[in-house]
Amino acid sequence: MKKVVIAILLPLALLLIPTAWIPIEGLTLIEHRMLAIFLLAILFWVLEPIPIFATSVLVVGLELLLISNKGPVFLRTGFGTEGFGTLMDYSAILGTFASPIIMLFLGGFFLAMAATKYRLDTNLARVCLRPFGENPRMVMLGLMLITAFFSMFMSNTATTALMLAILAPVLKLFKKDDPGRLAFILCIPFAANIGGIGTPIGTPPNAVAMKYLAGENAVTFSQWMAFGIPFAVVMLALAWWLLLKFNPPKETRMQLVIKGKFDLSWRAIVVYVTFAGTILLWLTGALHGMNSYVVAMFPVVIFVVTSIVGKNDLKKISWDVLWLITGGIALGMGLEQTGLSKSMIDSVPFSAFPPLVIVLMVTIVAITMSTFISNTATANLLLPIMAALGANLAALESWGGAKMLIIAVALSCSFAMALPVSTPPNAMAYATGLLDTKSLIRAGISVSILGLIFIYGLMFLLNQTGFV
Amino acid sequence: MEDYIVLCIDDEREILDAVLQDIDSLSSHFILEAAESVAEARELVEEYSLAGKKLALVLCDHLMPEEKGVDYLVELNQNDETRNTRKVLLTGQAGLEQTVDAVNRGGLDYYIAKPWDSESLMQVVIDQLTTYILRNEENLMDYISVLDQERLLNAIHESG
Repeated sequence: MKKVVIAILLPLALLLIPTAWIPIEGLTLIEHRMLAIFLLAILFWVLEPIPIFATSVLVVGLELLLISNKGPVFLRTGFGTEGFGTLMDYSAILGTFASPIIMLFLGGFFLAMAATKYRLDTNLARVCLRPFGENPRMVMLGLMLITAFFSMFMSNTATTALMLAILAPVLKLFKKDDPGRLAFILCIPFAANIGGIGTPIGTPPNAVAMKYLAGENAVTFSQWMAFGIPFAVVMLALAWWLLLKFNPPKETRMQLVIKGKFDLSWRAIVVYVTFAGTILLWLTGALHGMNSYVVAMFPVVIFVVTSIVGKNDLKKISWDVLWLITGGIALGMGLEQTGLSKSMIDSVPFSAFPPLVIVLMVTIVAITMSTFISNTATANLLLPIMAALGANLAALESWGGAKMLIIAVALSCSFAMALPVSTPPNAMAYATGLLDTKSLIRAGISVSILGLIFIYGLMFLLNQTGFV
Repeated sequence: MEDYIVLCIDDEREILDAVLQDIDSLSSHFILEAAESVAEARELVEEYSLAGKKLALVLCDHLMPEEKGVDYLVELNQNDETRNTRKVLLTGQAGLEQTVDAVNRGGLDYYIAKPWDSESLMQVVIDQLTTYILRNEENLMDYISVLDQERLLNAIHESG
């Protein structure tokens, strides 16, 4: 209860004090109100008095009320006068619910939903695991690669659930003191977290980042994959090596039993073809000219038209995830269009710091925040600031500017995996009871730190090749 | 957590204690309660209901001095709040007629004959609670550590 009170009273107090009291030069009334909304978003996403997606919806509602051009009349009196600021277009705020990013994610949901419904994922796991044999080390590598691949297109949570359901019964056969149990139970959430960085729809922070990677900083779906997948593979290999080094399995053979066979009904085949086709179209945007947002509508349209996704399936769409991203987009839009993000950046003497120290700071802030709170909420809060920071800091330009900063921070959000609460995959692995907090923290922090170091390496490489 | 109650009803105290001991590992996630009569059970359920706690599972004896177990199951099944409650008879003395009644009108989910063995009792309880949680609870993740992991994980997978 105390949390709610703090989360409401502080922003309210900020909203009610005179604008002049706030130590940001040239702050307009609208910026002042936006600052209160931003503070509220921070407190609500960090303290979580209500579900994080509910906070997102609250942000949209408050923006419509306090800073839109169709808010209550008394909140708009004074518009046009000095120091009032610019009102936001209400339709732009509402439009965030159906912004192309949301549609991209929706397309991903449709792919995942159909794949699960027709058991494509389970069957793929069965077939793809076979070549890895029965040597635990190799089985683990196979599990990690497949988990990572799935989590590039399915939610990290659903992927982890699928793979843990396959793995958990086999792990129970391991001896209680076999360190391999730990390695295996950790490899799934780690691979899911790492796999998420492979595509723009792999995990919500990527989608939020895509929102800011527009205009001259634009990154296409295939460009993201071109650096995301090799990076994920390197990190997977490292995590695999690390887990085995610290927890070598004593068991010499293991057999994963996955039952089932490929559904060959016409609908199932439509699912297989659409799945492969959509990924192919995403990869070949340069050839056919359809961008990823348009391509994302293919699975939506095809599955609805063929009744592969029916009325009841529609109810299963994770609106909470979509609305969580919506809130982030709306928040970013508010920060940018009111001019607040720039005003805030200007009020901090960032230029006094060497640019690389700034990169170091923001990525560490990102990974630390998302270790404790939702990765998406972290991205929602940090990325709009990063966009403004990158655009306004000339010294950063030679290191890749806003584009580099946004990608680095988005990736950092995915490498937070030190605690059970860091990500849903971690929480799920922890909930199996096969894992103790200490082991998770030790392994998680190692991967987090390695991740950060390799992100810097990746950024350097992208900068050298002229991508950012 | 601990939003759900598992209630055991039997007129013999030793049986209650034995059952509670068998399912003690669930106490981290469920409120485990015992009642020596249907009247006491009714009172408990009502009390908890006021605190927003729901009856997830009832393990009920049939032959008791005052009200009979099967009649209470029927009563639970006719009440909106407890219709979804998983209902298990744990008895040695329910005749065919009462058992049929329990199935048809009491929504009986499982019948355990006395004497029971601890392991299979626990298995039934976990199975029934998993079914209840899958149908009535949004946050499945919290229950992975105590209930049927595979069924819960599959449900999380299917729900995306």
